[in-house]
Amino acid sequence: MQQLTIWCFIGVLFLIYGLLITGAGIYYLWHPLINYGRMEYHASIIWGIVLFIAGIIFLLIDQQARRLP
Amino acid sequence: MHISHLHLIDWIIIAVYFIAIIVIGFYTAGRAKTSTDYFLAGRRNSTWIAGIAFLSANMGTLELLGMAGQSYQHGMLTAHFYLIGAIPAMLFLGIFMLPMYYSKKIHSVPAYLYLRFGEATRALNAMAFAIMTLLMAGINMYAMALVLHIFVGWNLYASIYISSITIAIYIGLGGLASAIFSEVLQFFLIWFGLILAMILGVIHIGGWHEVIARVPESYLHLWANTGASADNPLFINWLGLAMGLGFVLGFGYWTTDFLVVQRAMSAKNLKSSQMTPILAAFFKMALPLIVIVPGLLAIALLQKHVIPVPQRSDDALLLILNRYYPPGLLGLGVTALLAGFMAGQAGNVSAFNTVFTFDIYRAHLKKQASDKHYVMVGRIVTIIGILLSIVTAYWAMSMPSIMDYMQALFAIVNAPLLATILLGMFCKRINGFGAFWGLLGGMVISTILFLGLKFNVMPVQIVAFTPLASPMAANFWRAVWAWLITFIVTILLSLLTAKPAVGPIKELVYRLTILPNYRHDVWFRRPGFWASMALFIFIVLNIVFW
Repeated sequence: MQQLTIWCFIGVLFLIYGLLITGAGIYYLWHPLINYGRMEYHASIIWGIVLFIAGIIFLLIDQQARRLP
Repeated sequence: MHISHLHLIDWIIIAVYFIAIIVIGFYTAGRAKTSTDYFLAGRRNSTWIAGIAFLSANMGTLELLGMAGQSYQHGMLTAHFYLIGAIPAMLFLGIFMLPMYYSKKIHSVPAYLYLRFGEATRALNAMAFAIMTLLMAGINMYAMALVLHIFVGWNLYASIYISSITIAIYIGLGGLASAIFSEVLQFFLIWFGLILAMILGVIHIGGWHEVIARVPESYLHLWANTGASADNPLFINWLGLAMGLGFVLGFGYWTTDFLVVQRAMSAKNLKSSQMTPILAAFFKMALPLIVIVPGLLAIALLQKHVIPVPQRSDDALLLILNRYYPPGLLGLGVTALLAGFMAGQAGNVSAFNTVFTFDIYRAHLKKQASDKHYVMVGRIVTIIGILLSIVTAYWAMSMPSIMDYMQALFAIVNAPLLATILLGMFCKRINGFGAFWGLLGGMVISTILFLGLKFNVMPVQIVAFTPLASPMAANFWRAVWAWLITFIVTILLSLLTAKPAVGPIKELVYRLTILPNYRHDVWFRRPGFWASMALFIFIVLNIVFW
């Protein structure tokens, strides 16, 4: 088996962060805190999705890098 | 009273980061079998990984917060640190200097000095670099603890010990490979962790034009107000900027500081090594988006009473994060700051263990030992280095003015070294005698000038040509003087003593090195093409924001 690359570690971390931040955004949208408006919670949900997609891209880069000699 | 408050989700996000870098440490430990694996990450890194690590080694959180604070105070003048203070030097390193650094498969910059000039010059630089790196590591650690204390109310001592133990585990186990992995991770965490706050701030205020409308006109130019020192808030003219920051400090840091050059040396071949700083130059020019924009944005947000008045200018970025990041995103923002600190520490520690093991321990204490022995020494030195940096952190805590001295160290160590290395690489007539005394002379002069200004023994106009010069302007000019003294003394003493033999300095001097020929490569795979592209963008940015 080829060695894992740094892209794999970043990919997994970003997938986890994407899920956590989207989840937090949805939770706080229904249980809002006094200091923040809806814009911040919507941003949290969208940014979580961006992180998740970035995580998938990093995992694909890892797959590609491991195929190289 | 601290600025922000963490929720459970934020703590989980921070904990996941710590788990990730410990896992990286254990994973890379299995790959660190030889000294080249441990100290140079096996020389197997691609351009992308080495390039991102090259930039990240200099992208610590202290720098991000400090520069955002500077742009809040001085506007776009701060962007010079990302343009003229970096790009020409990075491109010069890639095109002209790395063939000599890389050709002999040396482990460090002091090792180059040894091959080119002999033991005395190496010992002088290795000792100075080791001390500077340890002090930097300690100050960085204290500053990290202080920022986290102010931002989220963490205990100073707990921050220092938890980060130290984590760094000891992952650098002790994996060496440079661990450091580089954490730096690449940090790079993406910083971008994804901070840029959203700027986007939300700009949207909230009504667009970028609204930000610009609220910032003083003089804050929006790079060069227009540098005709005379009194015309800009830094009190420095264009010549001081170009010579001090653009040449001596910029080239001194990016082309001779082993902390960054080590990343280029870890690349898998010479071409990748040359491409390392060239690739990093593109990212460097993008950094003002998360460093200069927050400073300008903070001015605008403050006018609209969206954020409170920063108690210290360095708090500008933290206040923006606090305003726009709800729980979850705040955890990501704090993780990005933490990652910046941890990677900065990792960089210091990995550079220190390499220079100590090869240029002090192997050179003077144990010349003949197995490769395995030196890896073991490297691991022990990592632990010792971290313990010493904790001591330095405590020292910094008890002596706040030490921060001022740290600013000076760079001009004392790197500015003279730049003259020594440039003369060594591009002038074959320079010998070891001239190099040693020139380097020592430059370091001594820089120290004397610093102490003279610090204790008001000499007026600042003697160094910086104007009594109005800011401490930063004085620092730029002091570096120029240190460089000039080294340059002149080295040449004079070399001309008065014997020529060096040509044999031993082959491949160490530009004209005695067979330079790589990329004519057989397609144009878009040549380092020269990408360096030209970076230079073009650099010139355009300077004209657009003139």
